Amino acid sequence: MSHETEPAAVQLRQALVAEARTVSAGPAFTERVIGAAQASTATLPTAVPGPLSGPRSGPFPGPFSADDGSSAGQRGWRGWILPAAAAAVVAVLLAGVLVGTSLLRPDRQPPAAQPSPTSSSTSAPAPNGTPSATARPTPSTSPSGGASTPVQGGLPAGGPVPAGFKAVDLTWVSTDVGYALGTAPCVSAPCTSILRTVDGGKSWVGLPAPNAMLSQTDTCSNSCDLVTHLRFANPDVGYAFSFNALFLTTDGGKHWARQQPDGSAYSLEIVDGMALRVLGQAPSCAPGCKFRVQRAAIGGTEWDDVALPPGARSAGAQLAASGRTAVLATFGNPAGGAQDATSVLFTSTDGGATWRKVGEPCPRTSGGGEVDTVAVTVAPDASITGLCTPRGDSGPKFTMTSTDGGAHFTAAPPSLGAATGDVLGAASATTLLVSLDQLYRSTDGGQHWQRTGNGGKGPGAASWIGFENSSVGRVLEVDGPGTAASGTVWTTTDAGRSWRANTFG
Amino acid sequence: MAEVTDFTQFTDFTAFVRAHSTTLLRSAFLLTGELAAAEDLVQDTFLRLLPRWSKVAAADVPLAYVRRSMTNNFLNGRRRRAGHEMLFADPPERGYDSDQAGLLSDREVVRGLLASLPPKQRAVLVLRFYDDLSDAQIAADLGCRQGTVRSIVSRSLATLRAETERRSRPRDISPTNGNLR
Repeated sequence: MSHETEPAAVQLRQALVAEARTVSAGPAFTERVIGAAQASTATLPTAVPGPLSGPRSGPFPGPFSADDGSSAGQRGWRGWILPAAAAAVVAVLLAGVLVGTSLLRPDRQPPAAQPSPTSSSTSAPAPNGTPSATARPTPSTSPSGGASTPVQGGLPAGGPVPAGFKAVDLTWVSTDVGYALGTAPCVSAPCTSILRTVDGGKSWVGLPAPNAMLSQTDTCSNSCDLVTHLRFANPDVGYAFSFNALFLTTDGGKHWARQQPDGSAYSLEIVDGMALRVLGQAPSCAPGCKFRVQRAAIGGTEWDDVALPPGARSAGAQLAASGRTAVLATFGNPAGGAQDATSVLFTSTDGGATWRKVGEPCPRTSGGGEVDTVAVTVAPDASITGLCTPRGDSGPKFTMTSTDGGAHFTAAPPSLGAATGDVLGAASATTLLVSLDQLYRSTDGGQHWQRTGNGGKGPGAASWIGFENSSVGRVLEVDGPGTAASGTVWTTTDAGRSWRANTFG
Repeated sequence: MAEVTDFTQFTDFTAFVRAHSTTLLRSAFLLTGELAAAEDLVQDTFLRLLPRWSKVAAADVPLAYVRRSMTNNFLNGRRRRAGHEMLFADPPERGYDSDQAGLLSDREVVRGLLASLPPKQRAVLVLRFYDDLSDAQIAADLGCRQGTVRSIVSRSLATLRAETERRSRPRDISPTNGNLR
């Protein structure tokens, strides 16, 4: 019997996977690492000066070994002091160049473009909510959707696109008008930037952005406003938000106002002419406790609670919607044991006014193994599709689709790979896109899949997928393995058969 | 250090950190046995690689490159700190508990097994059975022979089998056990 199949090996493998899944790198940890990296180089975009410091759990190492993974088993030693000193010199020189460049460059938004102090984060209480270690990011898979919406007069004309812009989220109010949230190198944080296109992504302009960080750093962990997602309901009204902040614009992005109280949204979508959001039960506990679902008129600031059947999980949530149909996936915490790890779905067919508890529609594996919903989407035809993943990425993934508002789901065969990935999009109940190691497309409801990235003629792995209607869709392609920010948007007008690539520059 | 002045490259670095921290943290947790040490290991690894991130990005599989570096950092760190650190503060339960069957029990057994092994052998098991590397890949990563890897795997599985069998037998409860009086 080989090592692979003998019971002890299987037992060991399963136990290791179970043990490993009790930990997860939450945003606080990843941003701590990034902050430390910024501080260690002293040459990077954000204003994180000074020595290695921050809320790090352990002491910084002394001399670093040169284990860079490039040479198997070969190790060496080098000092950190000299490179750090060299970095400081480079930092001074580079900062001078950047400041000079910035002053001469017209593409940065002037300070006046930021929200006034009374609406900025400076007047907001410091949020004390930290995502739980097991909280998963909420992939944005649903465009705001809707019919063609003309650009209204009086909207900001926009400026040049900041050099080096990388997008992390997209939102579309029509097949032509869309917005991108991202960041670009700048001298002092926040470097959060927003772009707009009115020609389907062929060209972009820069807009003012909320005075908020795109991600946490050591210098503002839990004490500064973050915006990680962007949704526009129409060319006037937009929302930039994260678990600890919500900004609203009603003038097309000229000005952004920090919303309070309950100024946060873990997920937010435009559903049936209303804004629908998911937020923590209390400002300090998202997403580590039960979620609340609320609705508000588009552009309104009064949010009303919507009753949700009991049973929601608390480790993360994703909201997706199209037309009057919405689906809310609440994710479990694997550290809590098998039962608590199960995802629980809720669906609505009346614009989020009432919800039906679906539970976990993904069927177990033939061997009885747990299978979790890890992503959901709603297609323009109101079909609901979920991506099913065997616990621990231990087997092939598959999709399941409902065409009756979530009353019944039909599971496709497990014909996707086991690669990590949880970005999903649907043009219809039969035309699906799933991003794993590559982007895969099915035209038969998940029965069979084909790669779209065929020799550069289509997108590879994606961090965002959305369809404005059954034909027109977008994919935000990751720049490389393991990356999330992107400089390329792919557009299809034939439900994914062919693609056109556009960059933001 | 000049390479990290490339902003695009730093953007890639931060995106990589966000995308793969959980994967690496889980491996590190299995290697170190405690969350704080695992977080330190992951962070230290990223900081060491940052100055040469272009090299990481150019690797065939950047994640494998980083994981290999992390494993070697773990082994080096263990050498440097040998004798100063106690891993696995919670030793595996030894008492028989008929209700604690299944995966939880398996995890305890495996936790105990890993804790009892020297760092290099522990790394072999994690790379083999969690990260799914081949014997050849592990040997290359750790700078040892494939035969050494196979030997460690075989011995570890034998230990695991014996421990599992031992735990599957009810504990010999003496009539004088105070709990029965």
